[in-house]
Amino acid sequence: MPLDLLVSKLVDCTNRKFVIHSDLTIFGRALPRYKGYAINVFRQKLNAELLAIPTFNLHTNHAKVIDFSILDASMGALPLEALSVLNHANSIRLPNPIHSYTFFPSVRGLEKIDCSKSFGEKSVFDYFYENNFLWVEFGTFSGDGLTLFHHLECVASVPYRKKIYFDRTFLYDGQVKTVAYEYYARTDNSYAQNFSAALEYLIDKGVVTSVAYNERQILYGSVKEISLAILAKLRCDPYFLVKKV
Amino acid sequence: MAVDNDEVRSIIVKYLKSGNPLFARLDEIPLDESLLELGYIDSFGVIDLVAFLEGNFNIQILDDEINKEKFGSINKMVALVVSKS
Repeated sequence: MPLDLLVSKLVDCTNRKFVIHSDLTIFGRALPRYKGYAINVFRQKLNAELLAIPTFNLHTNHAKVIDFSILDASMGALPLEALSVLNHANSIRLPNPIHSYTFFPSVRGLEKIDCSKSFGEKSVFDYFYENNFLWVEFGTFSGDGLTLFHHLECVASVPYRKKIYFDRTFLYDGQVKTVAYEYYARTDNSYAQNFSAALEYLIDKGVVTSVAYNERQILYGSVKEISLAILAKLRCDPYFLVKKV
Repeated sequence: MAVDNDEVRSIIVKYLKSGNPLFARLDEIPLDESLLELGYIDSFGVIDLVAFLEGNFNIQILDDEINKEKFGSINKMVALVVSKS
């Protein structure tokens, strides 16, 4: 099965901190046997010291109170599994109004992540970099889930985006809070995201490994190495992650 | 058993509506968009749908056909089922 394949590829890898974006249909008809157990299966098979699953709030607005006990179903099966076991495991869902990750287990240091922003210094993506996480795209298509690239656009201060601020209100730990949320928004609509070219570059360079499985792929690479490679490209060409439309 | 597109589409929509309150409330059924990306079903729901189609139409859908290209919308599912019936 695809998870065993990934495990076999990582046998010599000492890094056991993972951030996993996924499309679990890669399991095919074997998938139903993991319902209710998927998080534990990933943790155990990968021998994960720390596992981060994206449990983003993609449909927010200033008038809506975000409830962190609920997840938009469009996030997919593994995030829904993460939320369903959140209260039964030593875990934490970061109170970030948009880019909220759920961590298994909850560890010291997570409280230092700035949850009032999506990208840049002290954001969760910065935490992945500083703590040397391995980024895994498990069955997703052409790097659909490579949100890390947006963080790198922010670090590189690309010319087609700028920092904006808006209010988001959320319910967390029984309290309603409002934050002025920092987001790095696109300002120039004549450019569209073009992550597939960057992904090909990373694979060619050996920074990201691509493993084929049933006409699908599993991609993985060190957040640190991916970041350094993409930032070097962005220094030469600030438009490396976009294409003209 | 040969089936036509409309018949397969109708059976898929009926199945989705019967098991999914979100989907049942829709006025307009999204035929060309990914139900996963729209949040109407998750990966477990996709595999349930595969099992339903296999049983209902007496066909076999391979694991490597469960992808965006062949299974990424209701109309793509219809085309796949019709090609196998």
